[in-house]
Amino acid sequence: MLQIQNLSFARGKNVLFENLNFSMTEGDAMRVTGSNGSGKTTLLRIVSGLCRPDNGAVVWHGAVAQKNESEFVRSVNFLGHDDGLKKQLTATENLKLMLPLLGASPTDIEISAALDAAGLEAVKHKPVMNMSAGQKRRVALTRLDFMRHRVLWVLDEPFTSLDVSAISALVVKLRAHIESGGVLIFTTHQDFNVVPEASSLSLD
Amino acid sequence: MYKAFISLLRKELLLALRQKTDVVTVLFFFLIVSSLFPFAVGPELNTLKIIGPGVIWVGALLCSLLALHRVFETDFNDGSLEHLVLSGEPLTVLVIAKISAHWLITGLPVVIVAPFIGLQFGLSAASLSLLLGTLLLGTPVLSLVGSIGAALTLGVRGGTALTSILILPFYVPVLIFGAGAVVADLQGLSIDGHLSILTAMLCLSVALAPLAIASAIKIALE
Repeated sequence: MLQIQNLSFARGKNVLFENLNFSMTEGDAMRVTGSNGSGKTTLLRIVSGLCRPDNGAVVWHGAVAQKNESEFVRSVNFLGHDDGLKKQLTATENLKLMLPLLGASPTDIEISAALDAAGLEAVKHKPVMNMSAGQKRRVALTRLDFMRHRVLWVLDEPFTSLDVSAISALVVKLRAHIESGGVLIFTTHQDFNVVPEASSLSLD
Repeated sequence: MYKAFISLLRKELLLALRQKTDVVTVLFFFLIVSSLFPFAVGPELNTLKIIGPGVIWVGALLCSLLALHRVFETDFNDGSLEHLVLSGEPLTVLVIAKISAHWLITGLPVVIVAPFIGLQFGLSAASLSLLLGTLLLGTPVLSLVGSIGAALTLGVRGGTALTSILILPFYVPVLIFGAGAVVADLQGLSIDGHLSILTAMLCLSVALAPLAIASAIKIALE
């Protein structure tokens, strides 16, 4: 399904990774680890199509992703360090106006229920600027509930700022995605493997 | 595609509504700049008539420039731009939605207010209509061309100043033919050429600017 072929990337003279190869199929998960600056985020950005490698290719369903970019990105659900939320809008408005861009059209009731389930019932109608970092992350992660149609989930530090209950809830979502045949790549600085099913790739 | 366009446009307009001061500041700036000239130049009506269209056009140009950094910079900083690129919708269409919002927020208010400002310069009803027409043709060009500069300087320190330097030479022809059309009309000359060139500039920028901006955004995100 996903093949990473001879991927190399350098920032100036600093080689982040060279001739990196791996492949993933339906239901696979991979945890990318490494010290700060080892290239975890860069690798995820390359896999999701945001960044071009110096050498090598990302192959999706047998076709080079860059040559079939529009089709490929429709399969990708990327969550980066930044939440992609507008601080002036409420959590509800953010999801309501962002999700149609990503090919999902949930009803107001569905969005409200998802935010309630994420423990954001009390703040869902407040501007995001008034939320804590953890609450903002929860809003961003609520998006995952509506992204099941995107098979390849690429999540950069999804557990950052989350408390124990939110981490548990996220793990449930991630496992559900894997069990339904999705592919998951994520980075984490957690010193335990929160998704035991995930294989590990170290960039150190 | 249509759904994504509307959704993004709604989002941008809602954001503008939540940041009313930004919008009002731009309009207020336009009113101040264009209203101070009659005081400085004096009450000589013929002089005011000649400089009026130019002053109003310079005001419109500066207003467009003032709000340019907002088009992509906040999206770049908060991660929204990544979602737009990975949305799977044509980036050019999303770019057009963002530029349309920029024009509706900064260009359209200026176009609406301009005829009232024109009265201060003693412009006739015919001249005011023509001024309105040239602004309707020209201000979208300012938004489109300006957004190329905004996209090219994404993530660059001092990007706002750099955008101005990059974009101003491309704004000058719009200014010349926009203001020139009204002045030519006042002098009894034909305005067909001015309007044709303004229309051509609008068509060209609608066709080419979104492509250039989409490429610049992808480069900025790498």
